[in-house]
Amino acid sequence: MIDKKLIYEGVGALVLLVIFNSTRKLELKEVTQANPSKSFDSSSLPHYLQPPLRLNDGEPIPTPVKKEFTLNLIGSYPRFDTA
Amino acid sequence: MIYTVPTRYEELTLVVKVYTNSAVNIKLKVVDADQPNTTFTDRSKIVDGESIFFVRMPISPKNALVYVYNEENGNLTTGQDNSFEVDSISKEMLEKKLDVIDFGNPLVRSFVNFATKFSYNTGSLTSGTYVSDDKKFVIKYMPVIEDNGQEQTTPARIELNTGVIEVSKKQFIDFTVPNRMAILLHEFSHVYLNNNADDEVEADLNGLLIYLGLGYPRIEAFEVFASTFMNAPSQQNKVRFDKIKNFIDNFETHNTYMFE
Repeated sequence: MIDKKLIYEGVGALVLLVIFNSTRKLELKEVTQANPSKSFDSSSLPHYLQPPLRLNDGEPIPTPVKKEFTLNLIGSYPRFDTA
Repeated sequence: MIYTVPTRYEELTLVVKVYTNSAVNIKLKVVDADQPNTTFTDRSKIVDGESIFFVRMPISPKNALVYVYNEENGNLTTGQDNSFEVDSISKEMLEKKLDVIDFGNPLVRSFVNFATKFSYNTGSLTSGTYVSDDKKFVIKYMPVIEDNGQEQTTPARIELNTGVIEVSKKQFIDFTVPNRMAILLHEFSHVYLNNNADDEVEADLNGLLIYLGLGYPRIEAFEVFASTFMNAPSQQNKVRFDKIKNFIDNFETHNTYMFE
């Protein structure tokens, strides 16, 4: 049989772990001057922050998509009263 | 005072605790340490005693610079300005409400991704035509928006028939990342979410629902709509601002919804 005390200790440790991880106080590091001249390299950014695709000058613009019909658009999803 | 904070591209809430001995107008600015013209918040508040600033950051840079200073004295270093003290800067979890966003709609998913990439990189993008990864959405990033050679005050607009969005570089460059998201989501809503594509208020609220659900700061939404409306004061814009304020105030309690 599992010792109840062990369970309480485990739950307590878990709660402390959640509290500790949800607020992380940082060591204050002050700098005197930002360095705006530093060149920015976007290749090291994560995928979801990479710059969007730029079309070459003169390249035809793709036809943007039309509004798609979804069940949500017929009222099963919250809409707004704009009256 | 400028502090460096390693945000590591995480989604988070920055919590900045400030003390003052008297009423002081404290300026708080959070910028990307590496990418130019990329600001995550730019706000100020009168602090008399203790105050906590919460900066919601659904996207963050690798390293952020946090500017905190007395607006009256300008940005000085510790020891040069004794009118206030930064007690701590900490990182907390970001609260989001993704359940309010219709991510079942593939267009919403695609546009949110596109708008995020565009808004974060606006500061270093050149003018030109940008498309989403799936090429469903197009943004023309123009030096200024013009009609018959006349510069327009709007920061962005969408062509209702084609869905092409035009963005004014002159205005967007000074906007914060959340400001840019709020405006782009408004334009998207006109064509892809509204029942009535011409309805400005409906676009405001549909766009804001996504913006707030993603966890972007409330204050930045107020700010960008207020500044846009100030460029074009009218009775309609006053009504719009009141509805936006009401919507944001009630967002946390879900009181803004109405089921048809």
